[in-house]
Amino acid sequence: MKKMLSILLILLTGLLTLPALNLKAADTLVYTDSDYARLHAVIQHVDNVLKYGHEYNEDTKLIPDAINTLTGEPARWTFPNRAQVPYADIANQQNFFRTLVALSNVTGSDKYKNEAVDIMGEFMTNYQSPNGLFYWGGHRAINLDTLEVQSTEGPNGPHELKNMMPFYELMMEVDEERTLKFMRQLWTAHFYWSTTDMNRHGSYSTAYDTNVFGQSIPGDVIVMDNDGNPIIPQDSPGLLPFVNSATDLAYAAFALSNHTFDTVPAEWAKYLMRQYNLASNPITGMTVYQFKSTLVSKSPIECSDPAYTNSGCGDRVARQFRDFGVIAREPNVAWKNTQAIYVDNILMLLEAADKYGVSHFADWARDYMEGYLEYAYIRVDGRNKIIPMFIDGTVTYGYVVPEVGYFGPSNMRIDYVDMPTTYLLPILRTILQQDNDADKEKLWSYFRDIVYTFGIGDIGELGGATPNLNIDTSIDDPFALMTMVELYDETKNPAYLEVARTIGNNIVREKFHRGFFVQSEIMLYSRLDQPDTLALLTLDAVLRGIDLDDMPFYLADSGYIHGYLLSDDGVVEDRSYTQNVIYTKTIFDWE
Amino acid sequence: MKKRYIFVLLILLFMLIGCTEGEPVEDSNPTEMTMSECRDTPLAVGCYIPSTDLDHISTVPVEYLIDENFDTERINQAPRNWLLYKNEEYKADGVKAMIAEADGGNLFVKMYSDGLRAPAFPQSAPTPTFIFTTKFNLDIDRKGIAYGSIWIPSEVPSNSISLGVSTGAVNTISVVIGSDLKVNVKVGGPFFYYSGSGDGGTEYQTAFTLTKDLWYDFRFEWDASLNEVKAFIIIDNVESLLYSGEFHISNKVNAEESGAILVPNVFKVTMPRYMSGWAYLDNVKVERKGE
Repeated sequence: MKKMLSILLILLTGLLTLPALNLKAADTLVYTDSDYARLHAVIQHVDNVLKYGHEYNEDTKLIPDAINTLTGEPARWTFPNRAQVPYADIANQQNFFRTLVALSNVTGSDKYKNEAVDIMGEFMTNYQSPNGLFYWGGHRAINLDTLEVQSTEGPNGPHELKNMMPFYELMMEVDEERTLKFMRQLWTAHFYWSTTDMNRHGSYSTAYDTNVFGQSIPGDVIVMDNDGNPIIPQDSPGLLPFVNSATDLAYAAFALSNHTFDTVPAEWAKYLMRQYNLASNPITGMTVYQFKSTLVSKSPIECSDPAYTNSGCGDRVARQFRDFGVIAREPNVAWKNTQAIYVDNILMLLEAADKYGVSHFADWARDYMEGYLEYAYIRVDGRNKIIPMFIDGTVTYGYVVPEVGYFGPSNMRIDYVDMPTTYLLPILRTILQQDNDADKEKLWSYFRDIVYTFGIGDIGELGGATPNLNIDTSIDDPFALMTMVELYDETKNPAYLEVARTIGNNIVREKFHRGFFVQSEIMLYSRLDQPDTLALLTLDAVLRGIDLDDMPFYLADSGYIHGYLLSDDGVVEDRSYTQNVIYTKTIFDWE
Repeated sequence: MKKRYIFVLLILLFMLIGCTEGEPVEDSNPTEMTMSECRDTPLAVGCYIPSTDLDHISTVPVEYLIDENFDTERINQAPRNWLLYKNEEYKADGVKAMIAEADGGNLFVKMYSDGLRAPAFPQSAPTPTFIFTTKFNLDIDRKGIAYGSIWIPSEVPSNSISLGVSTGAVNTISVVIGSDLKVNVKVGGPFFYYSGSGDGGTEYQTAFTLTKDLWYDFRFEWDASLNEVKAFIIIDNVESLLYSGEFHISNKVNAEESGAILVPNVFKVTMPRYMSGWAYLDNVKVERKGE
């Protein structure tokens, strides 16, 4: 007996000591000083944004969309007559709100989340139209000088959200009633129940409808021809159903259903998303930017100048690319606005599949991504590129545009388009949300090539086995960082985490300047919606053992303002976006 | 002894059970990593070092003026400090502005426009083809005086032309010399983005008609504190008032009467779309306006 007990003791001791050699840190990862250094930079950035953002006008808690890192002052929208408006467009600050909440999560201090609540609270209380829409989005902002609503499109710029995907969890916490009212009115103002038209623009004078989802869901807009191809109606009277606006409508409806347990809004969201799915090309799987084309409503004389690109003159691709025949329609372009389709919309579909149980959205996401990558992805000169084409696979590469139009000037040669790193997350999340390995393999293969081409190394076999990652990668990209963090979170393979740490260090080294995160050292503005800080906090959370489900989730950073402004030369009028005119400024452009 | 064995065994069993709940090994080089002391106190003194006040630059505008007689420019070259607008749709020689020399040695700018293209915005407004500009800054004074001289040639096809001062893209006050050589004054506009009605400012007729092949001098004044703009023509050193009035609404914030006046910062010469021809420019000057 004694001998048996001794043998048992020796066996057990052996069993325990082998893993115990490594398991001294098994309950937690080692959080190093280098890890803290990244967090330190994020805290400094946030503190500076709050300090200088609040300092500009102490009569408000609102802060500007971007801060001039040379002056500490807000970015300003400059109208054609030089009127300058420092702007706070809360729709464009969603990643900052997510950053504030995430920062409270990782630091254990409520002060950052409280800031988010205070800012959001003041905005929601003071800047909601009586009809329920907030004064935010593509054409409205708050003037930080006067604290009045400023339109950039005209005296009454419309409501417009394109892939802004507000942080509804926070908004619900701040003011549930106003949030629900907004979500409902978003549909009333943008969706035309009688005609199933959808308008990216919503009016602030559309009355609030308490029975907004009370209509019965109609038949599908998209029907098939005898060959099984979708028929895209060309009857939209200027109400173009851009997928970027539809993404926001669907996201609001899902969030509304989830909160109220009323399934009807979610059914409408599914109906709306189904129209894009039905309009997809049945052969390639690539999907559309819009499921309707516009009706010609202007006279031939008005439309005789090709530079006049009003949608009332008809489909703008049909006008400028008529050499390509009937496929040349705005819905079918697969080289411009693809971020809206294959990144922002996919991320929303996957969020809906994951959080709200719309599992077939994950299948759609796979179909879209597989089709797009199979036909349009190419590696050229060691870089990830997109082959310009229509969604039936008709290539436009090399085409020289004969005349000016919506898509650019005359004599413009259509070339490969760089694939941005933003594609990493939708591809990865699509893979991770497939139930069967067989459904993952094709996308994983593309994903592996794409990640490698971005210089991150080989992610290995499906499931995260045998990676051979570039631990010294120079990439300093938040999407690459979030991708590696989510890969680690899924596989628990520490190799991904080590690369994530490298990318995080690169981001801090290359982008943290003058007290703020900027796109690069020479860029003038620190934009609140930038995803870098949220990505760094995602990494920090994983290192602390915080579940990613408990962290604010990255969905988009598409916030913008669009309207009339003074062009860069300072002497002619332009109509453009903050992303093109303001956030492209460098420290050398500052006068 | 048996009890002791059983006791040790039980301890080891408990340890084993506890270990099975743990995470797999995470760190590739755990021996090289040490836990940061700031992990659990990231905001504590000794860990977090707040930014000192950032060293920001002043936002007070730097004022500067214009004094251009073009005498130091190179012949057949575009003058320095001036911007001639073009976009991808313009023909290579669709618009031109180049230094020329008169018989007496005076240098001036010959300007040509084919009238075929124009900036894309504002749409539906009478946007000119030829836009030739230089900048100044009197944003602190908020008042000033500008001069410019125009010659309508007979040796080549001449063009309608305007010259004056603008606030960015929007005209403040200018003179418009038509193809009939009559002189009008235009105040404000276009402010199309706001009204949506093709607002092109307000044009006032004068009694003056120019003659070709002579230099005509014009003077423009503005004073935001008095809400006043003026235009003069100077012939043989005699100054004649062409117009005096308030700033146009398009020179105010949001084109509202209550909006602050936006003062000019651009000296601008334009020739219209759909008309082609030449005009000459000289002696552009912006100076401070006294009390």
